[in-house]
Amino acid sequence: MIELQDVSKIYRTALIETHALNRVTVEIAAGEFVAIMGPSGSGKTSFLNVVGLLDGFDEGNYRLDGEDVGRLTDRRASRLRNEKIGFIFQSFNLIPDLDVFDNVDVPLRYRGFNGKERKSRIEEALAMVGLSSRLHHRPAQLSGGQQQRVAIARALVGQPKLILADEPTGNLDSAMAREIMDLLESINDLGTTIVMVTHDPELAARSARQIHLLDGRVIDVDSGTPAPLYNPAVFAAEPMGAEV
Amino acid sequence: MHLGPIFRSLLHNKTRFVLITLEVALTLAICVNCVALIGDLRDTIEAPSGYAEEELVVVTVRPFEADYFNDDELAKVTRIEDRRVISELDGVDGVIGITSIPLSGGGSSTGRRALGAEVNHGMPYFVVSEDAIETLGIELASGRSFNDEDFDRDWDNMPVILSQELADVYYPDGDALGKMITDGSEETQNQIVGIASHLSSAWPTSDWGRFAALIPGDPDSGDFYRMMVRAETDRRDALVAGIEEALIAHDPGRIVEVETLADIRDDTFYSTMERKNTLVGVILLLVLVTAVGIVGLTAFSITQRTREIGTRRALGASREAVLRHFLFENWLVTTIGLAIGIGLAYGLNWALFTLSNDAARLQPIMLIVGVIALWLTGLGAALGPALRGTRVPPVVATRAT
Amino acid sequence: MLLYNLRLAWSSLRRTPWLSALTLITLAIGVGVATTFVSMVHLLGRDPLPELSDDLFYVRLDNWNPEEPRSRNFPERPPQQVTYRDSLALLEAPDPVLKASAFRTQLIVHPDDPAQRPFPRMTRAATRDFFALFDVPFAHGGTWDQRADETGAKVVVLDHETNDRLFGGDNSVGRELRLGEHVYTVAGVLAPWRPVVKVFDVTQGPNNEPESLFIPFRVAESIELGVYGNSSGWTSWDTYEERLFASESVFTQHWVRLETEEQKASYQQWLNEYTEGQRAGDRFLRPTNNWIQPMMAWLEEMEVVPPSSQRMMIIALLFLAVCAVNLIGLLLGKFLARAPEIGVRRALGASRGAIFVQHLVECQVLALLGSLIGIGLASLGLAVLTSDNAGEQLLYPDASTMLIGVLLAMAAGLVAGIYPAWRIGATAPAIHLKLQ
Repeated sequence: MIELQDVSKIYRTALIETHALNRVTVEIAAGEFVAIMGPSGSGKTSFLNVVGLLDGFDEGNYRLDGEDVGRLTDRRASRLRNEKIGFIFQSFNLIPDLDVFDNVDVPLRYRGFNGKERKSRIEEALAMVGLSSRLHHRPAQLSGGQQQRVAIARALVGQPKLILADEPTGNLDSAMAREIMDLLESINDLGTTIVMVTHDPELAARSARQIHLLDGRVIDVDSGTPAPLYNPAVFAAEPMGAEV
Repeated sequence: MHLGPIFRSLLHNKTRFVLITLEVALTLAICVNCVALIGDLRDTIEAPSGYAEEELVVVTVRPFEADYFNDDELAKVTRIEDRRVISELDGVDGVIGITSIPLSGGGSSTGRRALGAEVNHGMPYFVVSEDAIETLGIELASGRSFNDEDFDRDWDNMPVILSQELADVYYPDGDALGKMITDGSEETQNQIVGIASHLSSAWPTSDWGRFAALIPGDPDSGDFYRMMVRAETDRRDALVAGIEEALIAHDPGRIVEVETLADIRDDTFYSTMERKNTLVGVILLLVLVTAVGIVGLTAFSITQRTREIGTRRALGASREAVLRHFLFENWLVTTIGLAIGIGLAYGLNWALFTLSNDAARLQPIMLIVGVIALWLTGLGAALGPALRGTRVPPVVATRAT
Repeated sequence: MLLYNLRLAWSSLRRTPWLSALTLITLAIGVGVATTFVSMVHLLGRDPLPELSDDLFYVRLDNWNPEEPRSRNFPERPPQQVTYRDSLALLEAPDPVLKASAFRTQLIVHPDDPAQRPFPRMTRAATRDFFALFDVPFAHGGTWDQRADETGAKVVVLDHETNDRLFGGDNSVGRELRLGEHVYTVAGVLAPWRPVVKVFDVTQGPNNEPESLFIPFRVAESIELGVYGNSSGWTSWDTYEERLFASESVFTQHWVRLETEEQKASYQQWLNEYTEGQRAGDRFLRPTNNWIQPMMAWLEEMEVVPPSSQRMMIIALLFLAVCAVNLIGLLLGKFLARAPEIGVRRALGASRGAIFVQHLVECQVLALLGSLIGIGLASLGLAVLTSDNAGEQLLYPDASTMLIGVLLAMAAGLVAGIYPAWRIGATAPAIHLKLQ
């Protein structure tokens, strides 16, 4: 599903060069459930951005689902994100002005399905996350766990082969976090590849495989790297921005 | 396009929606009413007067020697002699005597009615000497110029040449030519011998601007007398000085004032022109202010929604899709504003009309043009901020906050 | 606290110079446009003679054609002026404290200096109390005496400019001057005088310049004075004498000063008796309709404030409304961008109300700055719009213009500021602290 070979992502300023990703080589097969781990600044987010086609990279090769995605036009990259990848974000990223139904609808709109097809898919996805009864609630009227379930429904609704989850439980309490993890596992059971970025070893343990990043490099799990220091998450379930 | 969700999100997000809507609605209402007023003023300014405006020079002679006032025969000869002096100047194509000056803002009017009609209608008039039609450059729609016999009639029975508009007032069926008009008394009857396609009165900016009559006679205004001189275009300005010199040299016992008809007309239209320009200025400023407002609100909205844009990009929206999204959203708000604005425009028009009934009525074409212009303004104003929106990278979605 | 808020406002304006400038310009343009036209209507429409107007009345008699009224649209209105012979009769009325008749004519001035050509000057033929009725300022001398009025003596009052031209600005009282074919003695010289509204004769436009020369009304009985003012009539005449004494040609204005209700009532009765008396001579055959019209009512009827200016005022106020709507958006952007800072202030104990007031003060500071520029623009607007084609300015901005500008700006600032200030006041402290 994902083949990264010697991929580097470099930020340059006048004075220094920083390797956000440094010759990363990773292979993830279809149907895997992989956790990406590492302390803050280790390159987890850069990894996710590159894998999710949200950002380009500077060196190396990347094949996604067999297609070389090294140099894509914006239109093609958008198309691939839309069709092959479902995103779940730490802060949910629901659009506050849209209700649950319209939020889940967003990727389908860019896909160009007709109204009937969209409706049945949305209802199916929401049923899967157990929110069929809240179609016309707004994000602000939902709990954090419910919001993240809407986000998962939005990720699922386009039936992507790959789901990228960025600290999906980072803003949730432990009970809700468990619920979300159960949901992700059941999605994985249906054959969808899941790549989850997390700093929580307990969550990571639920995945089939863990990849550790440090200073932009993949490191060996067993090499005895000292346990990274984390900042406790303080992020509230904030709306995406006050809006006028 | 995503009409449904965009519309629903607007309703949820009322402030920006209401502000742009209100701004666009008010702007449309104000602008089309200004345009209606401008149209009215422009009609007044551009209405053909019937005179060869650019080739005519106006001469006022104010005699101050007692002989002129004590000897009517001498006075008459003096007036004719002056016309001869002027006609011999280089570049002069004709000279007539006239009682007051067309388009000048000052003149005479009397009342006339069709035979058998109940009430008089005002008839602004000029008494003119021979050859007035040719010299003034007036085009007759029907009938004839004055002939020598006309000048011999007595005042009560002088024939008249009317402007088409005035002839239609007296004889609405269009058969005025050859008919009589009267002031209601037995003795006064004037035959309409000619109808001019255009003939403006001395008050072109008033309701009576298009109503005028020419009456043959020897124009004498008592204290002074006036002439109009048809000049060759390139000699006109030189003649302004030349005529005064020639008349004073001929007889120094009077004051001679010479002006071009174009200058007199411009003076008369000065405030009308100024009102028109003011309205044009108001429209331009208003559209500018509105455009700035839309730019500001859209830019602010896009800054506020950076994360939403990033998320949409992550979920598969291309840059074009983002651009389309914001332009469409803006177009939708503008359109709703314009729909309300059409109602407001009629409301404002009604209010202005109630204030004074010379306000111009709206015409649908003004609204159509206004709507299209503001659509374009709205899109143009939203384009800059929307393009900035397309530069929001999808990685924004994965940033911690 | 106010001082603190003012300081905050100032530092906030400086922190976002571009947005502040845009806000300021929007406000200034709106205030400038609105102030221009509101001032214009105010300056044109206000009482031009506030000390005198309560007691000043314009006399109108209905001497028109029994067959039809003077004005078909307003049949109740008598003609706008009176005949010469009626003016003479009105000058005999016992009740008015002051009264004057006048009409407009033109005379040719013959300077003593043979190098100067004669030149025409607009002239007002008036009775001696004309100057007192309208508070016309004299630089030298004064009006002529009662006898000059009665005999139509050849005396003249010059305006300042004509005196400058003929006598180099000297006190010319007692000197002689040839006007037309006759020699007049100078009785007085006016101080510079250019009223905005030509109150005493608005029949040819309310804002025309006053005449340059003033001579006794009854000079008309010895010299044919041409009528250069508005004139209308429904009977014809053959000679000048007939026009004065045997026609219904109205071309003179008659003004009276009546100080009490009793005077008014008694004068009204006198007028009615006069016109009814004239019926014996087959005049005044319409129903008795004699008006003692208050000055301001007469000016209003003559549309001293033209409808076009009133229309522009409405349009300009709506223009300001658009600018205010615009301001709401700009202020929202400006205020909400600093939500994090406000979160800190709220956490440090600022109440919702304190934040609200802080931002309203900022709006008012903006409004005051905007009004300064706006008043400047309005002064420019008045200069351009009320100058005639010769470039002479009619209306000058004054204290009332400033007041109008400041009030409009503050109103716009308040209307535009309340919602954004409320929005920012309503931000919860917690969210933004966390996001820091």
